[in-house]
Amino acid sequence: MTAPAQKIQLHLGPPLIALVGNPNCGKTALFNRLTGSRQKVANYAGVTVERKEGRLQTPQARSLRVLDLPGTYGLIPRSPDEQVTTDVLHGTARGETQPDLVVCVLDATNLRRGLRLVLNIRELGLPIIVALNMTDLARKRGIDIDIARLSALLKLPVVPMVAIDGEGMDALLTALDKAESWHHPLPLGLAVDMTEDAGIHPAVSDQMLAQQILDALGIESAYPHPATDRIDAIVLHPVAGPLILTIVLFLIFQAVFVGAEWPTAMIETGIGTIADTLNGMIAAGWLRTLLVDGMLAGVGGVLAFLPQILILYFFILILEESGYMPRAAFLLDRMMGHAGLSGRSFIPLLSSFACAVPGIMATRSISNTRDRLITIMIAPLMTCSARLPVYALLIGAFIPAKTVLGVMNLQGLVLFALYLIGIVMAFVIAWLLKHLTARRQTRTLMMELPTYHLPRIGSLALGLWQRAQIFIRRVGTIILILTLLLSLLSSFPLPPADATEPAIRYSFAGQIGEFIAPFFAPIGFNWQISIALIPGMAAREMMVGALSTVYALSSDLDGAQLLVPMIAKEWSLATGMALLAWFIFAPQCISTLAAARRETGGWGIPAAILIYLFALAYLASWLTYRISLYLFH
Amino acid sequence: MTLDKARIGQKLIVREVRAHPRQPDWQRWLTDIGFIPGEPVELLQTGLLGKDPMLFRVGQAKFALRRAEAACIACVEQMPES
Repeated sequence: MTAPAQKIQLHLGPPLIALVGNPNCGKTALFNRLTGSRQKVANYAGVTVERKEGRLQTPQARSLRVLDLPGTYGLIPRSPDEQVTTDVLHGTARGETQPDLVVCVLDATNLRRGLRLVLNIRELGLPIIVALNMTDLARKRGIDIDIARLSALLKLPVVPMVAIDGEGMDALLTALDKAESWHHPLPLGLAVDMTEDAGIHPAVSDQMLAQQILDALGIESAYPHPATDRIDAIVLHPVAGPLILTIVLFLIFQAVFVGAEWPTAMIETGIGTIADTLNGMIAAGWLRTLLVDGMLAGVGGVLAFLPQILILYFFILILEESGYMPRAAFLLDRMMGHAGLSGRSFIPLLSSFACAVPGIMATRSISNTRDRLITIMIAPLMTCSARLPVYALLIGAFIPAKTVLGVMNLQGLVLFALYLIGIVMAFVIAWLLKHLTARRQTRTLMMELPTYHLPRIGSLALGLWQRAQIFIRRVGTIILILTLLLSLLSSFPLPPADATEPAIRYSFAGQIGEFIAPFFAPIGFNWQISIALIPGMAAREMMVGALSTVYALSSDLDGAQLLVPMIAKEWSLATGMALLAWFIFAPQCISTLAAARRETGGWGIPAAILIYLFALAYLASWLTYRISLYLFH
Repeated sequence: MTLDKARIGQKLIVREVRAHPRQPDWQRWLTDIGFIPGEPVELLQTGLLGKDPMLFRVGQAKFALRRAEAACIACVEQMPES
């Protein structure tokens, strides 16, 4: 029998290799090792699955493109992510060429499951190199794998490695330089003949092959991981588990708010210094307004909370990398189940406390479409950190800093209540959607709880860097443009020479504000708030900058630090309360809607989000305004 | 018996994965993640008051399943070590 003829390479550009493996097999660590910082993150055509491509150079100076395919257990997809992997491997994915070679990453401590995937991919006829990862952990657990024998049995090159430490990289690169690695695999000559047993389920026949290979290698099936089991016995205990989870979440939020204090202050001081310098250099006029009051004030206000976002992500990344995140999902599965969600919705919702945009993107790991859509719909109700400056401003202005019930700070209590109302509303909405949309549906969990790992500094740093880039890109584009636009809108047209009122009343912003003010009057918003809601569409935190712009411009007062006494004087308590209620729902974030549009592939869901949030915000503000008027005036 | 009836710590062996009447994909998915005839399986943990979800060790992996998912997996008690 002759080997299948080598496919003629027609497409331009370097050959494409794809990394495939089970979830948690260390595939991404290998990808990061192979490509370093030469990564391009985008989406697959027509779907919202993240596509990571990188480049590498082999020792013989061949350039290769590397595609990191989403982790999968088999070639029958369970989620949009797994669908992409299946389609790319079959060569049917839109806009993708079939890989020229597959690097199949196997977890040496769970060889059986990985072998089945190799056998599945083998049947597609693609050239394969097996990267046997986590050999250090396997050795520690007494799993001794005969590499040469495994390679002979699979009729494929096998490279042992510890991807996270870079061990075995050279061997893999050398294997990529060997011409025979790029040949299509020879048929397996193992004892199970699938043609004879037509009745055998394909998964079962693969399983029998895998078993034969394991038998030939002398590997038993069950090797428990004692440390993981000991930790799980405590962490997943029905009583201790939820208690530990609560403490973990509490400590994270403490760290976020306390730890971010001084870096935030430093950024604010820095921006203030730049503003002073510019004020000294440029004469008062439209340029100074644009640069200092428009650009610097807006961007500075937003940058000031990069520390908070990074600290929160730091902990989320640790929870993800260590393997605790799925445990948290396990513990929360029942509670989330009452609202018609799965434990997997927990991760996106937790991320939404930093920002709904990454939260909505994190819903990709939810395999059930309905669960995913509901999670996207309620994600904006999690109080994102962008709302904190608004809350801080309003609470500072309208809630007295007094102690209640002996130990509690009233301001802190109000902030806690705002978070809580958002969460409760999210569950109410999810529960309603569950009962409106589904006849009793059976939903899928099937979630793996991986072995615990100590998170690596390197991958934490890379993850943080990528998040920071996403956030700064958001700041740099949408928010900067809108801040500038607002600055222009607030400055032009110039007031007439005989103006008696503040300049902004004559500007476009003033006109728009006055135009929409009647609509917001019943809920207690004045025209300044109406104006500030417009830039607040770019990002919720812009509201603060916009208010200070509006007030600084209209009253000759400089700087946002005067805003607290200013609004405390100018607004009624009822207005302040109504605006707080409005921001629990804050329907006006364009970034959130854009993310929802991207993740759902249509305008239906973002439109639904906008409408229901707007209706709830208006209703809540109206009720709050009326009740406050009745109580306090 | 089926896996949803397992007691914590009971050593079992998967006999077959049955099709769920409303979730035909489950059979293949459960097989893909490692619930394969002959594989040793053990219930490690359940949610509060023995409710959903259930945590199993199957082969070398740990998987959380809901009761309805576990009910698709038929199993027998492991023979005591001889």
